[in-house]
Amino acid sequence: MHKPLPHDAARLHVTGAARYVDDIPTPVDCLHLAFGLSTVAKGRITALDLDAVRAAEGVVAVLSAEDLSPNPDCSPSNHDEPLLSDGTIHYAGQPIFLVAATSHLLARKAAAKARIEIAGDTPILTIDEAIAADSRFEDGPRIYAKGDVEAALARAAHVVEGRIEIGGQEHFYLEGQSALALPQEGGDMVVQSSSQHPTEIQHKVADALGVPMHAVRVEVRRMGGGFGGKESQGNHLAIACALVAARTGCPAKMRYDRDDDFVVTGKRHDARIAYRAGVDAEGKITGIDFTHYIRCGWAMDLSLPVADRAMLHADNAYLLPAARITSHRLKTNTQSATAFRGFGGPQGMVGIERVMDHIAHSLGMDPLALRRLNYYAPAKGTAKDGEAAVATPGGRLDTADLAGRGSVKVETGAGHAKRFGGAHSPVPSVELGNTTPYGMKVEDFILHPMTEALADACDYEGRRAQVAEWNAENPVLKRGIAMTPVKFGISFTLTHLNQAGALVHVYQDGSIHMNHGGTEMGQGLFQKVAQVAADRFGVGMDRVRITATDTGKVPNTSATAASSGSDLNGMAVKAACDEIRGRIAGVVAEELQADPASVVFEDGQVVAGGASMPFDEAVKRTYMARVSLSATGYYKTPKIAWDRIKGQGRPFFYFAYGVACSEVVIDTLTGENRVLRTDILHDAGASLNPALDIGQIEGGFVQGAGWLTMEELVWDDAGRLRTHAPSTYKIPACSDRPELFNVALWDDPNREDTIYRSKAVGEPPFMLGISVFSALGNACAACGPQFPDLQAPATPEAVLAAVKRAKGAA
Amino acid sequence: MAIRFLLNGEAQVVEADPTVTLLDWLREARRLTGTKEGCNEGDCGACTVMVTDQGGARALNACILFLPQLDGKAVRTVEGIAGADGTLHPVQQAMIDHHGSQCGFCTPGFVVSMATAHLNGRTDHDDQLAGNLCRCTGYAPIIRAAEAAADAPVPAWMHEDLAALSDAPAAETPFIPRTSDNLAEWYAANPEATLIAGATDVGLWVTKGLRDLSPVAFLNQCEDLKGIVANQETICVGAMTTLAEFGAFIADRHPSLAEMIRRYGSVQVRNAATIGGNIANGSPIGDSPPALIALGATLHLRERGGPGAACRWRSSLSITASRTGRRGSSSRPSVFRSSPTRYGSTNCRNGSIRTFLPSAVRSTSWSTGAPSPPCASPLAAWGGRRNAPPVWRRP
Repeated sequence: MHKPLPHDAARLHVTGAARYVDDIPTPVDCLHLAFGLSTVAKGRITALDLDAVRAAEGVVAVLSAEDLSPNPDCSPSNHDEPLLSDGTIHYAGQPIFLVAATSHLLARKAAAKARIEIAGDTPILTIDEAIAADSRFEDGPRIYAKGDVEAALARAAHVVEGRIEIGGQEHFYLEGQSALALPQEGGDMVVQSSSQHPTEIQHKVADALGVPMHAVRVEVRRMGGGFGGKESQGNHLAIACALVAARTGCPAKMRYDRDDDFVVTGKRHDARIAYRAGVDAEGKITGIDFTHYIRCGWAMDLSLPVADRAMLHADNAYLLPAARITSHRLKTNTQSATAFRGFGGPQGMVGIERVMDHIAHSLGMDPLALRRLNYYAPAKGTAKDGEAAVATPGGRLDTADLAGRGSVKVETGAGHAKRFGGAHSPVPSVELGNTTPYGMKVEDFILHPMTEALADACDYEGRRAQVAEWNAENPVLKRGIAMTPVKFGISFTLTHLNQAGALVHVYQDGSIHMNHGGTEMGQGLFQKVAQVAADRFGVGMDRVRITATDTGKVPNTSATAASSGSDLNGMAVKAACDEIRGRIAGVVAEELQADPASVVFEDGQVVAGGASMPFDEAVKRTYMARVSLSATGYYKTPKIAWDRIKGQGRPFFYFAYGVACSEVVIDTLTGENRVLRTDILHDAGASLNPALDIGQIEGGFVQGAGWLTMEELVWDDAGRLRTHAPSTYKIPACSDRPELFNVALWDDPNREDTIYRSKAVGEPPFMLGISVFSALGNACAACGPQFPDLQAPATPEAVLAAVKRAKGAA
Repeated sequence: MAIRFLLNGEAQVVEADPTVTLLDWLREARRLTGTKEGCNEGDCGACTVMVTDQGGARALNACILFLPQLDGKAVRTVEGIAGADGTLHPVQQAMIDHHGSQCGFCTPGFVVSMATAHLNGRTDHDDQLAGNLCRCTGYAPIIRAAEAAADAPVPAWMHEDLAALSDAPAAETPFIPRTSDNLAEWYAANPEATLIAGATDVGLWVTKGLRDLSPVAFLNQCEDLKGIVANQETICVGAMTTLAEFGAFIADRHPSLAEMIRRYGSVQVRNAATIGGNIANGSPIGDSPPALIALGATLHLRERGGPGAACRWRSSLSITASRTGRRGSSSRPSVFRSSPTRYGSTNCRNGSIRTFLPSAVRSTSWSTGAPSPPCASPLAAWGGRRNAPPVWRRP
C-alpha cells in the first residue's frame, strides 16, 4: 500500500497491446455505423431524401426517426434527447439518420450523400440571446444564500464589480467515442463501450431494445481518456449499435470521426460570472453577490448538477460572511454541454479567484496576502492545524521513487516554518462560523500550512520582487506570478450515487480475481484498487487479476466520476476482501487452534498464534473445508446529506486541497505567452499510490491551464462549431507545459475515514491551472494602471485586449 | 498493382486501392491495432509509424499516408519496436519507469516517435514530440522518459530495416513514376489526375473530405524532383524536397527561415510535406509561400513538349502568379509545379525552385518580431521551445 507502482497496463500501453473498443477483434460480418448530422442549428426538417445513402457502396441499412418506434432516448437525466431528430433540429451536429455499412469509411461516405432540407429558424446561441429569450432549464434561477448580502455590501469599505466570460472546453480524449454491440441468443445484447458509466449504457440500451436490464451486459476494459466526456456522451453510439445489432443480427460498431466527435458531443459549460464584492479596510470580504450564467446547450444532460457544483465552489477557499449565488441555466441551440473534470467547480472557482485578483488590484495588495487573509479558519485537531505548520515528509512516501519521477518533495524544516496568525495573515476565528454559503461546516481546512509551505519552497515573495524588477526594466515582455488555492468538495452531489459494489473471488490456487464498478480511463484506478486487495490478503500484486468492468459482475454502479473512483470502489473491494479474509482466518484459526481475531495476513503468509502457512495453502484448506472464497463488497459514503433545492446541508464527505504558484511571461506586442515555472503542493491524503497521484496532478494542471489559455471553442453566427479538430482547436502540446514544473504531495492522512486515509485526486488538480490564468492577469496588470480584466481563455488576442485595458486604452 | 514494402521486418506485397491509408490497412486488413486513430488528419500523432528508406528513418503519420508512398520502404509500427523476443526498447521501458502512460491511447505514437528520435540520435525532445498530443499526463513524465532513455544504446533490431532495404525490389508502375519525364507523359495522358507528394493535405481530401481522387500519381519516387543544389548565389530546391530536408539544409544559411519551418506542423508533417506540394495545393493558410514570395523566389514549371519533343521547363514564373487560385486551380492541366524555391535566377537543373541566398535578409526573431530584450530572457526559450501551432487545413 502507498507504493508508487506503475499503471497496471503500462507494458500493454507501450507495446501497443492494450485493447480499446475499436481494437477488439470482431466477426467478419460486423457492421459499421455513422450518423448523418444536421448542419443547421435550429429548424424543422422539411425533406429527408436518403435514397442516395441507401444506394451507396457497402450500405446495409439506413434508419431515420420514422423507422424507429419509439425513438430511443439518450438523455442521462431528462428524457429530452431522442437518438435521431424527430423532425425538430436543436443544434448543428444533431444526428438525423443512421447508416450501417460494411466499413467505417463506407458508412461515412454514404452518410455524406443525404439530401436534407431544413426550414431554418433563428437559433439561440449566446448567453445574451438566451437571457433575452428567457431560454432556460428550470423555472428560474437557483439561488444559494448566506447572510444579508446587500447589508454587507452597503457597509463595505470598498466594493468591486465586474464580470468574466469563461470559455468552454472540448474533452479531446485521444480515443474518440466508440461502442460495439454483439447480439446474443434470445435477444440478449453484449455491449463493449468506451464509457465511464457502464450501468447507464446498460440502462439506456435496455430501454432502447425494450428488454429488462438483465438482458444487456456492458463491459468496459479501458477508455483512451474520459475526463467526464464519456459519462453520458457514449449513450448514442451504444444505443445505435445495439439497435442495428438487434435488427440485423450482426455485430455493429460505431466510432465517431474526430470532427464528428467535436460537433456531436457536449463539452465543458462556458459561463459568464458577474460579481459585486465588498471588503473592509483590511481587505476582508464582507459579502459577495455572484450571478452565474451557464450555457447548457440544447438538452439538459448533466447541466443542473454541473451548475450546482459551480455554485458550491463559488467560495473556493474563502470564508464569505455573506454571499448570494444566483445561477441561470441557459438553454441554447448548441451541443448539450456535459460533464468535464471538475463538473462546474472550475467555473465557480474562476469566479472567486477573479474577485480576489480584482480586489487585490483595487487595494494595491499582494493577491496572495489577500487570499490568505480571507481563507477559512484552519482545521482543529490535527498535527497540521495551522500553527507553525511544517510540511513533514511522511514515512510512507518513498522519496527515492519520487525523485526518480523528477518530482520534488517540498522541504520545509522547522526552521523554515513561519508562525501563522500575525498581522501579515491573521487567521479567521472559527467562532465566526466557518461555514460555506451552503451551510456546510469546513472542518478540515489545511490550506494555511500548505500555502505557507509552498510559498516558502518556491520563494513566492522573492520571485514576486524579481518579477516587479523585470517588469520595471522590460517594456515588451512582462512577467506575472500568482499563487492560487483549491478547495474541492468530494462526493457526488446527487447523494444516492455515493455507493459502490465489488466482487472478489479467490481461486483454489490462491490467485485473486477482482472486479468493481469503477472504470479505467487512465487514472490508474484499477492499480490502486488492486493494491488494496493485495494488501488485505498480504500477498504480492502478481496474485491479483484486474478485470474489465462488467455490469454482469457488479450491478447498479455509479459513473466513475466526481473523483470518487478510488474512494468508493477501494472501500467496496476492501469490504469484499475482508469478508473472505474473515472466512479464511476462521478456517486457519481452527486448524492452528488460535483466536480468529489474531490471524494476520502478511508477506504471502497467514499467521496465527506462533504458526503460519502460505496464503495459497490457507486458501486450499478453506476450500477443502467447504467455505466460500467469493464475496461481494459494498460501500456507501457516510455523513452526507444535501438538499439541492434549498442549497443547504453537507454535500461533501470532505474537501481535497491544493495550491499552485505559476510564473508566466507575455509578449505585449503579440499576446503570446508561456508558463515559465509552476510549483504545486497537492493534498492526496495518505496517497494510495504517489506516482499515479502525481500523474493526475501534472496532467490535471496542464489540462486546466490549457482550458484557461489556449483552448478556444468558436461557433459561427449560424451556430456551427468552427473548431472541430486539432487543426483548429489547440490543446497543450509538450512544449506548452511549464518549463520548470515541480509537483509535491502534501502527505497528511485524510481526517475522514476513507480508504487507507487517502483522498480523491482526479478533479481537484485541474483547478490548479487557475494559477496560470491569474499570473497572466498579473502580467497584464504590469502594463498599466487599470485592472486588465483578462477574459478566459487567455488567448494571445485576449491577452492583447487585457494589455490595452491595463494601459487605459479604450 | 502491387505495392512492396517491409512491415516490421517482413516483406509485404499488397494489392489495394491507392488511396487506402496505411492506418486503415494496418488496423483493418492486418489487425495490427497498436497504431491508433486519434484525429485522422495528421495532427495528433497517435498513428505515428517509423518509415525507413535510403535517406534514413523518419516518423510519419499513418492516417494520411497512402500505401503507394511506402513502395520500396520499410515500415515499423509500435508492434515492431520491441525486440522479437519481447525485450522492450529502452524508450518503452523508460515510459513504464517514468509513468509516461495513463490512458495509453497516445502512447504507441509517442513510443514510435521516441524510438525514431532515439535511433536518429535526437535529444531535442520537445521538438521531436511536438507532433504527439497527450491529454492525460501533462507531458512531464514523457519527457522524463525520453531523457532517461537518451543515453541507452540503440537496440540491434532497430538497424535491421535499413540493412534489409537494399534487397527490396523497386516497383515500376505508371502511377509511381521514377522520373519527371515519365510523370509528364503520364500526366498529359491523365490530365484530371490528382498528383500526390507528401499527402499531408491531399490525405485529408480522403479522410475528411471523403473524396474519390482517382486517378492518382505519387511523386515521391521521382528522383529528379528531389534534392537541393546550391552555389554562391542561388539555391535550387527540388519540388519533392520535404520541409524537414529543406529546414535542415537551410539552417546554417538562413536560421530564421529554418526557425519558421520548425514551427510548421510537426516532425511527422515536415517529414512528409514537400515544398512543391505546399505551393501547389495553395493552402489558404500558406505556410512556406509567404516566406518564399518575400524572398523573391521563382518557380519553375514544366509541361509535356510537343509530339516527339523533349519535355521542357517553363522558365522563371513568378511564384505569386501561381497562387491566383486555390488548390492548383490556376494551373492548366498537364502543367505541374516541379520544384520550389529559388532565390535568384541562374541555371537550375530541371525540377526545382530557385531563390537568391538571402544575404540581405537579416535574421530576426520569428517568434515575436520584437526587439530582443537585453538579457537572457524567456524569449530565448520561446524561440527554442515553443510548439508550433497545428497547421490549419480544411477538408
